Amino acid sequence: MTRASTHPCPEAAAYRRKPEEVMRLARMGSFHPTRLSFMRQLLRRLEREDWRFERRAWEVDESGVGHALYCVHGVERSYTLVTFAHDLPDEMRSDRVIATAWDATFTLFDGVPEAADIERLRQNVPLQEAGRVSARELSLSRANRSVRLFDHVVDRLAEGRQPDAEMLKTGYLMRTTAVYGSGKFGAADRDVIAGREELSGPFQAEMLSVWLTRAFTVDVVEHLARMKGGEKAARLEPDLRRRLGVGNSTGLGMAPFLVNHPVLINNWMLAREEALARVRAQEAAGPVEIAGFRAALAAAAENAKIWDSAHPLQVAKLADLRADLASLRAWAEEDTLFAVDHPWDALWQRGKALSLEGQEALLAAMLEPHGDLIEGLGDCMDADEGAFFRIDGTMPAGALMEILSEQYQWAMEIDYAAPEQSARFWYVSEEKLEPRLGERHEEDGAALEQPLATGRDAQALARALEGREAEEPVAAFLLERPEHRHMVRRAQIAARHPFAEIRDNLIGAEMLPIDLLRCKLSFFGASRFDPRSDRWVRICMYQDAPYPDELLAAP
Amino acid sequence: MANESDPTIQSPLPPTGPGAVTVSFSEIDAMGRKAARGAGYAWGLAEEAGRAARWLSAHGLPGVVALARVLRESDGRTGAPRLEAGVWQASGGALCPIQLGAALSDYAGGLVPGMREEAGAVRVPLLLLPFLAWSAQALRVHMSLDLEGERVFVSPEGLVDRPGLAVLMEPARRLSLSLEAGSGEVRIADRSGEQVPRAVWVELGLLAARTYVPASDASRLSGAGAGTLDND
Repeated sequence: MTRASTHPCPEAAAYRRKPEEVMRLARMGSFHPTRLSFMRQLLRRLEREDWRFERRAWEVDESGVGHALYCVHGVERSYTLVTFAHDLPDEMRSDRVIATAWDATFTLFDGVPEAADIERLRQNVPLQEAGRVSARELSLSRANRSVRLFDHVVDRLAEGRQPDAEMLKTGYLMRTTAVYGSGKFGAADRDVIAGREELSGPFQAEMLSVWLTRAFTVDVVEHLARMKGGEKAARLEPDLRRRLGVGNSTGLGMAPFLVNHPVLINNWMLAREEALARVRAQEAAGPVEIAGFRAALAAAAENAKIWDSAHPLQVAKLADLRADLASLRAWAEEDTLFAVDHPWDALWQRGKALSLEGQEALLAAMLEPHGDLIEGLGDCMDADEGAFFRIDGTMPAGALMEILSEQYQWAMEIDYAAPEQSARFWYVSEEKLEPRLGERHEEDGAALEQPLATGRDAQALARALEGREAEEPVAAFLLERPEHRHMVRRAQIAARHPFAEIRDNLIGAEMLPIDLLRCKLSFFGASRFDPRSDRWVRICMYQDAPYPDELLAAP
Repeated sequence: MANESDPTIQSPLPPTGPGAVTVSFSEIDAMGRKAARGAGYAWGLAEEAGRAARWLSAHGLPGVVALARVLRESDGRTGAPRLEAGVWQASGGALCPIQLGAALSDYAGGLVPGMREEAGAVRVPLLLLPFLAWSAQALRVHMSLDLEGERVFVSPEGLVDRPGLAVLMEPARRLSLSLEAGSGEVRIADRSGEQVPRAVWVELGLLAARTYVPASDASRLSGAGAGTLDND
């Protein structure tokens, strides 16, 4: 990340956490969304640049079937969420990727679609993976109703009443089950949009698509209530509406992403860590920042209160989080807390006694009142991955060994011959073409393992390099041992990107895929992580955020 | 030719004209990587195969067809380069351009003006171009590839000049690489996705399918994580 080297806060260097502290699954699985999260970045831009919003079409019938167009108009370009609403029988509703029909399907169109575009999309978007979109489309996604809440809200509004606040704890009317971008199923390649300022940041097209999807979920509920209740039907009260986000169910399909994009994940982590270091480097805390910090803690505590999960792992973590947030709020009221030199760093040091959930919640709360100090870092979170793809064949074997002992020390200590340390293997299932996790010692298929066993492969590379001349170029080594080519590339990337590698065993018996999911989803800006097993998680997006018609004026 | 419900292809092929499908660059990258892995290439080389096909497509060249032609006859070991008396050769048969391209890229940093890397017969030399372009860009040098008198020129900015496709798609008997600059402008293609013959895409899909693990009842239940009710 070269731009970060020109940052205006050189004194932050002394406050940076080390990769070996940060890049651990247990910690990554405790991340919370922050100001730098991609949803927040998107909404800040739309507001700053005075984008316009219009619901350009609403052609949905009394049974809830039809299409709608949600357009945003920016400085140079417009984007439209093309939405297809369906009437899905209950027995067909499933969040699993194996589903073949959904309550609603979506694509983000590049521009404003013509009638012919809409017809073309009507033939394909409802089919999702079984259809094809084109380079005019930037995303493909679908959503299902959260049935109990959805029906409750329709019924109440139809009667002219507001829904039960208790019911709204679910947090969303519909949840997306996959949001595909970047060239998937024929959609536009990342290259097409990477040069556009508004979409150059990570996942901005996908985040825009989800934000507009949220507007649809409320519109369709109000529409169905009106169809049912007629004149007497009510609309959702704005404050209740605000509390509703969009849900999302995410499984293993997302888990390998962080491993397969080492440069990108490095840049995400580095931006987040640099933000924390900048705040810790502040010599004093101003009254506005202190008030903002207290407000952020209060909001986090409120969120932790309604954050519900039945999964034993998360239940325990939530108990820790609630206790830690209570401690933090008590600390924040102490007269002396901010009276010391470098008070944010002092607070951070004190916070080391908290659980990982608590520490990472503290990080998010500390970043919150420091927008001016850290928001520029958001521009450093994309990556030109191609620039680091080529292997440097002139590197001497000895230098590669040094990289391995510096960046992969954690892997050299693991006994991969022990069954529990190599208990799992990652594979792609023939049935769904999705990443899956198998039990190496119990199931077939380990010969078809995906290259995600980073630590094991680093150790194997180190063994293969032992006894070779230190001056021998990597080119000569790879000519003899092409099977190490993948790991050599990773190691050379890691040498220049200290946060590129997750420093944990990704094939161990104890590994929890939900830690990978939570880390990535927190960067999106998701909240309310609710693991449903060790392999899939439900989350909420855009909860409490403004809606398009609230944030943006009409064209 | 597989039918539309062939499970080895990502999704039904779009009706974009007789016998052709339009695929995005990232689909080409992913398909190339999986197909090369399915054909037997090491993961690192398979990654390069996918990237190379993508690079060619992005430059208006038939990367997918070229890759399929190579994978049809190679398992990632045959055609492997080794130096014999200073010349890159494969033991028996022609060199595989993916493995040779990777080797030339790995050794490119050692090239000095006036020196040449020589190689014997190589199949589908088109696939060498991305490796040369990446090297030229990383090392900030100009390079020239001589294919029996026909020349490819790359600069740090990209592809400068090349012979016709007929030359690049057919095996070359010998080639040499040097740090020599060509004249002319960098060719830039501006397009999104490539039209690929349907049969070729299906062929790669069948190779890619060799990397997939068939489902069992147990894996259906646990592979993605058994969980609680998801319709609530």
